[in-house]
Amino acid sequence: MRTMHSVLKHGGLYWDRELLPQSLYEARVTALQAAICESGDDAWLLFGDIERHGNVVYATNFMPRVRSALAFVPKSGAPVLMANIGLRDVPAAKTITWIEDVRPFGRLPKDLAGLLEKQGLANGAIGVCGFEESLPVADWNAIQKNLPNVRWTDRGALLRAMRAIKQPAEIEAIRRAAVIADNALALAPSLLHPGVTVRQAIAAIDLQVRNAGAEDARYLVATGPQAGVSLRPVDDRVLVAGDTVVLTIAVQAQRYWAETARTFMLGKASPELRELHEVAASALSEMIAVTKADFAARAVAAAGEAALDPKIAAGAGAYGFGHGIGLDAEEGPTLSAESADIIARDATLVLRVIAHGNGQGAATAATVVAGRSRCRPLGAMTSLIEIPA
Amino acid sequence: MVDIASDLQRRVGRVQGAMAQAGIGGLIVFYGAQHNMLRMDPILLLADYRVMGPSALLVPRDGAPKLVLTPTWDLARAREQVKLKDVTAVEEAALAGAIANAAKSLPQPLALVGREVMPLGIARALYRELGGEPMDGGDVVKATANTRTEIEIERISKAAKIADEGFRALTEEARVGMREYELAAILDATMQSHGSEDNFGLMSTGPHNVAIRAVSDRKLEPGDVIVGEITPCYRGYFAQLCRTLILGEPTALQREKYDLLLNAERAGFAAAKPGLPSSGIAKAVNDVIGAAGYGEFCRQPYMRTRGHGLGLGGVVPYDVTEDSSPLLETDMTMVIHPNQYIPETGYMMLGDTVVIEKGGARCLTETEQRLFWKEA
Repeated sequence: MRTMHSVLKHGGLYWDRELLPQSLYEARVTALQAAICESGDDAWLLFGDIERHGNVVYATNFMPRVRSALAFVPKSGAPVLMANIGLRDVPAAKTITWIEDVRPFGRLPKDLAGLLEKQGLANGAIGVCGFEESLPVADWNAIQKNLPNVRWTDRGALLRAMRAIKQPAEIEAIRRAAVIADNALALAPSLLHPGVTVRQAIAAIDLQVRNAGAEDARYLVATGPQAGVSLRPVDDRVLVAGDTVVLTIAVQAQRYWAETARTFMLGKASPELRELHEVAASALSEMIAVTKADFAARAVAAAGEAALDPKIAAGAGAYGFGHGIGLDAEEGPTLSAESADIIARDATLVLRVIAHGNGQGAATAATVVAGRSRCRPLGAMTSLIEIPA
Repeated sequence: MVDIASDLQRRVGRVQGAMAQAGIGGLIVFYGAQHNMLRMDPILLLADYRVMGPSALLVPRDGAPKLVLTPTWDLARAREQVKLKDVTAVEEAALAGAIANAAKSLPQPLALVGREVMPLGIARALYRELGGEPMDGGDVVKATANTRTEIEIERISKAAKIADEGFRALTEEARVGMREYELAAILDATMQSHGSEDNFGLMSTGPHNVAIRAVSDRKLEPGDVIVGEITPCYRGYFAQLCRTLILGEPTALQREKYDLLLNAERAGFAAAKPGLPSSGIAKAVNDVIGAAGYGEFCRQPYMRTRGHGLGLGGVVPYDVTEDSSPLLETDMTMVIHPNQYIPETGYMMLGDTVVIEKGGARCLTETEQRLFWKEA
């Protein structure tokens, strides 16, 4: 889900090689090189930034904590990782990547031109991934100017298809991120109470998330009267008795994201809130019931929408009924009425229902993996949580 | 105290003055959700709003700007917080069309700022919708934002106090056996509970650090030197504090070398006066460290800058190096940090956020300038 991005990744950055062995990345690069040859290209450039870095991580395990990075994958031979870091940062960067050739860059257009020229590809056919979504247009203009004879082709769709099918190690990584989120939210009832600010409560939750080894987390929240209106970044509102707290959380650990949501009530829930939450939970159940491999993503969204009052459905649709999740907090397929995506086998998805109505708000979500005949939640499923005064 | 609405009017007025001088009729100011310590957020500057998705502020040469933002569900928050009358929200796929539509009411010629952050896909769609590429707005916004207003300095001061709280927590909570990321989590949680929205936080630990880096799962050990760059954000504005903490009593050598940093920082502060070039700060710092025999370690790959503009991103004076040319002005805010790699002790850090005043640099951070240590 769209959210406000932090200025850098805050949590511990290290590589759990038992969970995600080097062989996983080597196999990916072999598969990428086969795809490069099949597409008739000489090499692919995989670009990513602090917000969307899945393309780069997929091949390298390197995640830009700040600014951007680019993986150069030739049709044969060793890949090169270019990162917008200083020379003195290279040793730290190498602790989280298997790529031997790590090059810091200050100005991507100039340094990329140097790399491609040295590789003999100044007149080559280069596939690009992540440029449309993330590469600043100023950089693109300069790259084209520096490399006027390169034939550029967007290969983002090919890479998206490869990334959509999650391997067992990836599913395990996403499950672990989901567990971190669930465990932190399990503590929320002891942290959400009248008199604390939303920021203080989320700080305490974030502490749990980070102590569990998360490298990043995102929170969107609505409390009190906001609950009937919209989610927003963490603010300084002071919680009072009778507040509803609608909270969504996305956690990233070992580069993989999971997302979930909860609705808390400081006191006893009103019948209106109970009803809204039940409707949201029921819509999520409908979505879970139909989600499976080779199924149309729009049909999942339709299942959720059908379970909601049209006005509430329109609001929930604005947040989105879900999407793929993995190396990016938001990736394909998109679960919306307009989506033409098909859910891949072993795709991981977040299914989500954010509902506002009658001055009330409720949220529920689940990270799931799509199997042949059904999907399997990777985290806990919860109901409305009342926190006694 | 000036109210925020009047302050924003003045900021917009300065940009409109610059537009008139540059021959720009209407300005499209683009920014996204990637907030950055070293990049100015022009929408925050002109609308006092931190957007959550790709968004644009459309500024006419006269009159009030319009804000077009994404995602749609953020409209309610924007209408609560933004002082402008014309605020709309669209899905990201419709953003280019919405900007182009809103730009129809702007006087010609149109200019665009934000190409350095605008994703290629949005740019292509926008140029298509506009029927061509608008002229480059260049520094028309940035050039008006060299100095901070009273309200902005108040926020930066608050961020500086939060940084002090963060370092206090770090010194209290650091202990042998804990992981780097656990210590960083405590620091961040402390600052968040004091109002911090974000932190450009870096930290390294070890007996001999080479540079500052991201926190890892390394466990702290007796004798570790903990270096921290702490940069909380309060209502969009950053302040930075750099300090060094040793787990165990410092050696005489560590004390001696840290004194060098203290002297260098004092020299840097003394050179930070309005009307003087920012390069003077770097020269003053490097002279002290160079005179002790570490001149070669004042350059790349060991060291890069002796500070930078800070507050509303890294505006003027930008990076403070011996080659930097901007002249310091009253009400500029910046960090001065004579952080230094020294072969005998490793990397040590010292730095403070300052505001340039008539008489010189005034420190906004209040943490004592000394080498910190605690029993291991």
